[in-house]
Amino acid sequence: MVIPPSPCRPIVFIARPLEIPSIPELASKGAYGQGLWYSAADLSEILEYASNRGIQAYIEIDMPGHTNSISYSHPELIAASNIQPNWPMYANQPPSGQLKLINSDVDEFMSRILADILPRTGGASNYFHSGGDEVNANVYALDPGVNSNVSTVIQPYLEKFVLYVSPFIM
Amino acid sequence: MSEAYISRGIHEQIFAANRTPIVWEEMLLQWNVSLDKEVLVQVWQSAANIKLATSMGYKVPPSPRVLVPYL
Repeated sequence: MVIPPSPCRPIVFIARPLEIPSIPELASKGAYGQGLWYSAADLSEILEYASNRGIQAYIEIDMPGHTNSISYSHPELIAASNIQPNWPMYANQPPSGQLKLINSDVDEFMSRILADILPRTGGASNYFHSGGDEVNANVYALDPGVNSNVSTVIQPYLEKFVLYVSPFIM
Repeated sequence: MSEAYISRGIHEQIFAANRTPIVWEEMLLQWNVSLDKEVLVQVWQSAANIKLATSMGYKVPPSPRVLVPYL
C-alpha cells in the first residue's frame, strides 16, 4: 500500500541552507554565518528520526524560483538577483532571484545537486519535491537566454527545464 | 563546466532514480507544464485548485494550508 505523503514543512532552507557535500560553497557562502546550515549528517538524522516513527519525510529542492541563495556562491546561474528597491516586481518576497533557463551551466549545476541528494534520501521516501512555486515572469526579461517576460515565450523553456533533455542549441 | 556533460530535465533525473516527483500547483495550473500523470501536484493557493488538478487527472497530496473541499 502506498500512503500518500502528508507534508508538513518544518524546515525551510532560506534562512539556513542545506549542505550539498559535493558543492560545499553552496551552504558556506549562502549561510548567514559559519556553520549556520543543515549538514548532511543533520539531514540523515532528521530522516532517520521520522522513519523510526513511521513518518515519510521527503525533500524539496525548490526551483527555478526561490533560488537566490545560490547567487552567493554561483552568481552567474541566477537572474534578477536581489533587485532593490523594486523587488515586488521580481519576487513575492525579497531577495529576488531565479535560476536562468536554457542555460547549460544551470542544468549541469542542478544535476550535480540531484546526483548528490537523491541517493542519500531515497531510503526515507519514494517522493522528491522539485518545487516550482511563485515563478516570476519579469525575472526572465533580465535573463539573457530568455529575454522576455511573456509567459508563452517562457513556458517552453520552463517545461524543458522541468521535464526533458534540453534540445536547444546553445 | 564540462563540455561533455549531457544535461537532463529535473523530472527525468528524479524518475531515473526510481523516485516520484512532487511539484507545486503553479507548474500545472499556471505554466501548463506537461507533467507525467505519476507526478503529485501539491496545491497551496485554494481548495478550488485541488478540484482543478484532480479533474486534470493528477493526484494531489494533502497540504496543510488548504482545507480539503467537499468535492
